[in-house]
Parts: sequence; C-alpha cells; structure tokens
Amino acid sequence: MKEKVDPALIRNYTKGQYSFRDLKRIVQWFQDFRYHSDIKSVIDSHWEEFGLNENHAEKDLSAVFNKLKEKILAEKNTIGFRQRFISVYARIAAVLLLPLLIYSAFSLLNQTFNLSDTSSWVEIVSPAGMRTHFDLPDGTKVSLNGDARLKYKANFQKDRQLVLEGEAYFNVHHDASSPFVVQTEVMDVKVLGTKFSVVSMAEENSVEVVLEEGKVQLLGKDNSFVETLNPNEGFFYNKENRSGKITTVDASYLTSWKDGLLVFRNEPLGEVMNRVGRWYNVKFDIVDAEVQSFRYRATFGGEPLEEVLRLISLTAPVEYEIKERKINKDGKFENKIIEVRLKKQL
Amino acid sequence: MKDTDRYTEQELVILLRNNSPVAFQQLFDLYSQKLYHFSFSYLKSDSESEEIVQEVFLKIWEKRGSLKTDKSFKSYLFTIAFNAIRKNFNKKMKEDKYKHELFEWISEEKPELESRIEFEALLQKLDFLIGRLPEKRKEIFLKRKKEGKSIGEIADEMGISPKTVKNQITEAMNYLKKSFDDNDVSSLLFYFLFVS
Repeated sequence: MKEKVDPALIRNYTKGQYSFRDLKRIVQWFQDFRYHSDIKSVIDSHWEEFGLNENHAEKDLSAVFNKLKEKILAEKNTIGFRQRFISVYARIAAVLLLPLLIYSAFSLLNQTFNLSDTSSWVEIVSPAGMRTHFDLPDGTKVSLNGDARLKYKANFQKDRQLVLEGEAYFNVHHDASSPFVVQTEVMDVKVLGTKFSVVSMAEENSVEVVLEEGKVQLLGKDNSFVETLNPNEGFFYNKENRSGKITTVDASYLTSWKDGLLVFRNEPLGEVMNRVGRWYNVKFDIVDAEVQSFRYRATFGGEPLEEVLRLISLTAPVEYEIKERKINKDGKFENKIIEVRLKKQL
Repeated sequence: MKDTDRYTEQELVILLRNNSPVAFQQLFDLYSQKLYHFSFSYLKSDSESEEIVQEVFLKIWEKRGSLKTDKSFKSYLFTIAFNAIRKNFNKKMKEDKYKHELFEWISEEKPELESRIEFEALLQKLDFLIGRLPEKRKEIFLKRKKEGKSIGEIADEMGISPKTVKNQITEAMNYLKKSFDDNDVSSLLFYFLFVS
C-alpha cells in the first residue's frame, strides 16, 4: 500500500537527522515511481524556501565553472556541420564571395554614420567565417571576426576614428595625444591605450564591449549615456529598450575567437577546400565542378586532416580519395593530393 | 552603478538564449552556491554535489535554445536539478544496497544502532572491514553481495567449486559479524584515528 511522503522526515534527512529506518523509507520514495510526483513536489517546496545561511560555507565552485567553460568551448570546436542545399542565388553569391577574401577599398560613406567631413575612408571586410588580422597605420593590432567590417579615415594617424560593424578585437597603440575612437551604431568607444573587443551586429539586438586591459569610455549617441569600463568588465547594450549595463566578465574567454580556429560559415565548399588545403598543406583536386558551390558551416579546432575530410564527406554530398604522394623529378615528395567527387546519387 | 544595476533574470535568460556566455556565467553565479548546498543536503557528498552543479548547468547551456522567458528560471533549474539529484541518489543507494542489507542483518537485535551517527559510522566501518578481507574472499563476497551473482555463476567465473564459494562467503560473513559484535569504543576509535 502506498504511504504518504512525509515532508518533515525528508526535511530532517536533509539536516542530517534520520535513522536507518527513515533512510529506507526515503529510498523507497525516490525509487518507486508511484511516489515520483509526491516527492518531487515536497522537494520543490524545499527548493523554493531553501536559502543560504551561515551554516553554508561559501563553496569554491570556480573549478566546476572552468570545466563547464571547457566543455562549452569544446562543443564550439567540434563539428557544427550543417548541410545546405544550394539555390541559384547561393551559386551567384559564391562566385561573388570568392574574390572578396579580404576586401580593402576606398569608399565614400557618410550615409549611415553622421560624420562631418567627406575625406576618403579605408574599409576592411572580414568575410563570413574568416578572422582577419591586421595592423592599423598607428600600430594598433586588430582582429576582425567573420562578417565584420571596419572603416577608417585615410588620414588615420592624425584622426583615429573607426567605424565598426560586426565583431572586432583591438590592441590599441598608446598615443595620449590622439584619442582612439570606435564608432558603432549606438555608441562611441573611446580608448585610452588598451585591449578590448566590440560586437555591433546590424541584425542583432545588442551591442557589446568587453575590456581586457586598460580603460575605455563609452559615449552613447546623442549623449544618451556615458560609461567607463575597467578590465574584465563588459558593457551590454540592448537596442530595443535602449539601455545598457556593465557586468563583470571573463574577457579572455569572450575574446578567444581571435586566437584562431578554422571557422566556416555558409561558405562554398571550393573555398572550404582551399582553406583546409592551406591549413594542412595538401592540394584538393575537385573532379566534379558542382561540388565547388555547396555551402558549408563548420568549426574545426585542430582535428587531424583525415578527421576533417571524414566529417566533410559525412555531411556533404561528396566523397574523397587520398592519392599516393608522387615523387617529382627532383626526388622530392609532391603535396598530398585529395580527389573530391560528387557522391553518386542513390 | 554595476552593483545595483544588474540584469534581471528574464533578461539573462534572453541573453542566454542568444548564446551569451556572460549571461551563462551570471546565472551560474546566481544559482551555483544554492544548488550546491541544496544537493549536498540530499547527497551528503561534496564531489557528488559538485557534479550535480556541473551536470545541471551543462544541461542548461545545451538546452539554452529552448529556454522559456515567461517561466521562472528558478523552477526550470529545479526540474533539472531534481532529476539529477534523484538519479544520483538512486544510483548511490543501489550501490549501497548490499551494505544496507548486511547492516540489517547485523543490527537485527540491536535497534539502538539505528541512529544516523551509528549507522554512518558502521557503514564506513563495514567498508573498512570488507577492505581487510583476503583478496580472493573479498572478490567472492562482493560478487555475491554487491553484484548479486549466484553461487554457481561465481564458481564458473572463478573456476572453483560452489562449495568453496559458499565457504568463502560464510567465512566473510562470520568475520564481519564478529568484528561488529565487539563493537566497543576502542575499535571505533582505532578505526577513526587510523583509517578515515
């Protein structure tokens, strides 16, 4: 016969006051499915009123958090392949995208941003899935994450103004005489010699600034706010309710993308092969041209070549064959050649 | 401003749904201590309570896409935590079942042993005593009591006669019972001083 789950007995058990007989009853409540909802509701109300007090010594859970962080990062590094069937538009886009590995051009743009003069600007674009690293004329190091664009004036050294759309990491060259300002859609980030990262995506609802070292000042458009960030602080601005908050963050974690993983975001397979080929120093021989334009999304974090190939062939309609390395007439091994074909339709 | 002006829980959940590691960290900071101590009150084990915290938050990260913003995060966390605690509790109790049975057998005529302190101490003592059995006897004993194998099975597995298996188990039980019977203060003291 089913007895009643006794909340007092459970509460005493949690306080360490119980007999062997009590324990046996609790074990039964936990194990017998008929008690499942009863014991769940008893423990639920315990959870609702459970508060920390002086008997609960603060437990150091940083190791647990670090393990979680590792797992989360590992998850990002492992295969996030998603097959995409190409449309006519995607084929066109693929053709256009290829020559745009790093697009750097002069252009006039003050339509989107309210800038007073019309002097020429330099624009650097990091295509989807690429991180682009470069130095600005003043020695500042910049990493642009995929799909980001950064514009600066041709006379940058005199006037350190940048316009950013997307995600970027800056290691700013210190120059007290010339302020370094990154403009985004909603605010200016004014820098005083520092390492920081800014995310401002046009299609996303938030703008983030994360500071690793030094100090930055955040100036909202139309003087809507002024904030100062210290190291390991992040500012998160919500465009919808037009407010932002400063919170403590682990900056090195949030900016780890800049340290290089092989990332593909909806890129044509031809380009994926090119980059995998450069990364692993192998040559791809694409037998069926259709393969070129399939679009792929994946992140690799140091898997061996064979594993990368296996994963591509698992998720893409392609098959591959690693050819014997040939010895050329100078007696040297040529690059490994990998033949890629369209998988035969069944 | 940063101490007072924090995200609300609902905002954090929205951010987490959009893959924000910062929101994840903040929710961890908000709930991990409470969850740890809550788990500890049921599992009475530091490492297992840590595991619960890890398991629950990993699940939250994995399920971040399906988090509901109109429901309380605290209750959502509870549902995951309850299942994890229950699973862990049942697993532990299953592992300890043979010890509970032994304990019942031993304490049949000693109801005063039922208080928790006695019980816990005796369980530990039992572990210690089992550890002191001769290797082969211990193996046979655990196969029978912990894994619940039959005498015949054990005999087959170890290539010995069923009679030997039976004898070994009887020896082990007698030894344990005898050690528990002279359950005087000095033997407990010895145990606590040199073993735990």
